[in-house]
Amino acid sequence: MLFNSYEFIFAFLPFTWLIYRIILGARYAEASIAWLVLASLFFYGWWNPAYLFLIVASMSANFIIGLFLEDFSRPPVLRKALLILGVSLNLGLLGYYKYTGFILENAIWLFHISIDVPQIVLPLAISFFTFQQIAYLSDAYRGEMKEYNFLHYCLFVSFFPQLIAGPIVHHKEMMPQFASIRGWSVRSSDYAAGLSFFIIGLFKKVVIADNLALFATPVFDAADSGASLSMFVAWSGALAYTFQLYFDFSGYADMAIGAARLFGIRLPFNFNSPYKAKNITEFWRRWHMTLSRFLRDYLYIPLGGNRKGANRRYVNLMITMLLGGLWHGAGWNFVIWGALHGGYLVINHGWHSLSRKLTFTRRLPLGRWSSSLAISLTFFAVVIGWVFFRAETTSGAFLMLESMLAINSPEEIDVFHNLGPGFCIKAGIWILPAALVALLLPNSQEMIDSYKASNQYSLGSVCIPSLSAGAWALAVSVMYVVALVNLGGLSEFLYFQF
Amino acid sequence: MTLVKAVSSPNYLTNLIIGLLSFTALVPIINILVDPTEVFGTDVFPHSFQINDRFRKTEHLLENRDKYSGFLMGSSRMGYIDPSLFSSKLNRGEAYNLNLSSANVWDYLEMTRFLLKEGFDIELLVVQMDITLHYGDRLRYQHHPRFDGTSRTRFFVNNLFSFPYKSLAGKIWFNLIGRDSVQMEWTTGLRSRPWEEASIKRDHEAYLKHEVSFSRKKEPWQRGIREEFKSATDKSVLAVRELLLLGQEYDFSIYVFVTPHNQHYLDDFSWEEFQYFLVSLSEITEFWCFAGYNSITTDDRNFYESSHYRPFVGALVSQRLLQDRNLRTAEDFGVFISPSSLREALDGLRFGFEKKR
Repeated sequence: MLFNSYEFIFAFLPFTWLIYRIILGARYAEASIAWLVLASLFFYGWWNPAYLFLIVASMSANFIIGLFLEDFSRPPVLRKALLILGVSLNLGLLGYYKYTGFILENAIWLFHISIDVPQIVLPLAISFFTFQQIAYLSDAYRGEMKEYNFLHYCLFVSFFPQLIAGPIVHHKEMMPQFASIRGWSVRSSDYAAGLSFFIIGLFKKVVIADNLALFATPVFDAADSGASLSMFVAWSGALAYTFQLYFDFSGYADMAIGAARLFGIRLPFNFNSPYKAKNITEFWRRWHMTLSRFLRDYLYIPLGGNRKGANRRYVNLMITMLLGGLWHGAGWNFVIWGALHGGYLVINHGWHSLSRKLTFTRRLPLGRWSSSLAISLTFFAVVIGWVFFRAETTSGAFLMLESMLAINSPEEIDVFHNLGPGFCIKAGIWILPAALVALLLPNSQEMIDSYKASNQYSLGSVCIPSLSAGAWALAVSVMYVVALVNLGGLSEFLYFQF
Repeated sequence: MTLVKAVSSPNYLTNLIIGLLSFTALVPIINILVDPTEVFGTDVFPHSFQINDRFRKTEHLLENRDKYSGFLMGSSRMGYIDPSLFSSKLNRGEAYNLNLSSANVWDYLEMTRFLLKEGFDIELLVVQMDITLHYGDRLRYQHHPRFDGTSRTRFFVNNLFSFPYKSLAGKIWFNLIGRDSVQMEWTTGLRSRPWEEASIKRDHEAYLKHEVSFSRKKEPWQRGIREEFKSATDKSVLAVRELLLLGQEYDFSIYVFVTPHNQHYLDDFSWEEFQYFLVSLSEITEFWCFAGYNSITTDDRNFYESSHYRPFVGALVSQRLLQDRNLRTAEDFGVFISPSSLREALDGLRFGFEKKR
């Protein structure tokens, strides 16, 4: 069930909320949590009920292993062995479903062997709930976990707003909220914020992202089919995808945050205007923030982080980003994308080290123009990365890059009747406003939730008018109806494949 | 007030809920009342503008499974041929004009497969071929949910909550001025254009003068074969081949003909393209070709506009297809093309092109 579907908006969400409120109103807090678990499992099983067994088994096994791990009376060797077993089981499951095909295909290519590659269907959300549970096991081993009950644990893993595509929640931020659910504790401002988040997210996904997809898809399809494109067409496709991905994924995150807030649960924010970042390190603090947090806490820091010298730090960054790339998908393009971002981070940290040593850089003017230059450079680097992220084939990605950099010969350019100058103009009509919103306006959490301003150059105060509560309600309602009438053409969230 | 402050105001939530509920109710009410694509059949606005004929015709056929055994497959141009003329060729049912807006051969093929899957006992298919530059974007069109294998509820919910503003505005406007873009007779599948026929009856010369497609500026003549044309033709011919194989498998007859394209429509294609189309088609089947510059297609009085011919032209086409001996029409209207007659037919058609251009 997609958030941007009639089933979810008109049936599942209102019904689940209504029963939840009735149970909570009768002061059965644990029953209300049990209801949310049931509803979440129904939500998960809507696609394919066969997947239910997998997630229930995974939750049960991890909870039991967690119980053993948090018992410090057991021998350390046994606890460590159990941790390794638990993490291996989680990674093994993820590896089997997600990477078997990729590994076998590469083995066939490398060793010229003949093996049938099995068609394994990737269970929904496995990448997300695997990470959440690995974090849970690691914290249990480190003794950073309080005693939790199974019902709360199940809700932590399966809570439907965050189940399918994150945010990747941490037990420390969720379990205390479940434990404190009481009676009519959800305030009207939670409903107001929840509905507003959900509607703004729906608008971002259905109206902005889905329309940008109409310009990204044909360009990447053409490149993947071996076509050499003109520079303008290639840039139109790359920029359309850059903003499509942001509005799609951040729209989904807004919907998740909004839906959760209706139940009185606060999910962590996942995006903070990433394209306003002045360097790549800042970009990763603003993009898919909960994934960055996981990779930092459970991969980069355990690898040694920056504690073992500069060279080791760069190696750790590369490993973290390569694995981060692979987490997004089993394909060489994702590996290249990860490596590219690892390289960006190494360069960024190297530059910072160097500039600390070079005295003249301290005298460089760091005003508005240099900030704009830094934002532009970071944005350019990110767009190049997205080309690998989006292209189906490596050759398609390189063809896109050749076209974007205009290093393909004009004679090679394939002229498509539907990818001419008119296409670029139409694409621009969507890309330009999307860019203005993403780069200059405050983001949804800044607008709704007094979130710390993401960038001092935000034009929010200039562009966002001061309206009465009624006028704001009308504006959000209009966003809702515009999204609603565009819902008919259902499409998958881009992040579902991960 | 900023949105952050508004969110904490009690007025905001109340107004927001009222706004959401109002819009959620308003959109379906408008759709049901206006019925922009005629899927609800409410008839509050009786004159039509855009009709989802794919849904309505499939719905009719599914409700009358045993009634029809012959189908006229084509784009909207096919809509002016009376299917009852083909009854003599049928033993087990009537003929139905299954013309669909902007359909191409892919649609005919998929529709035939659908009818066979639904258990229709097909005896005859009459397939109209259009000469076209594009194979068409079938995804634009909303099919019957049973055809798509999707839920009927979802189909109606999608239509309830969509907002096809052009169709809504067009339908309201057409009802204000009291005209139909086209009328559909669902029991036969026929189209009719009463508004145009009335205008023609009043003053045919004035009608021709005001119809812009008859007086549009001529582009320079095409030369050679465009890639898009070749690709569209190859795909069309491939789909006809699939249809012929289905005919053999399920034992039904297929008549193929090339539509009588108006001269202004034909002006957009080169002789080489026209020839490529006919030769490609002749490699897989015999067929009647009514296109080309002949005495019917060069007389704009036989057409509503440069795309659609009038019903009596449709009657001439069917008489030719049925080899009616009482036929009284121009000798040059319709050429039967088979491997043995191809060369001679092409010579005649090329002569028409050379004379016109």
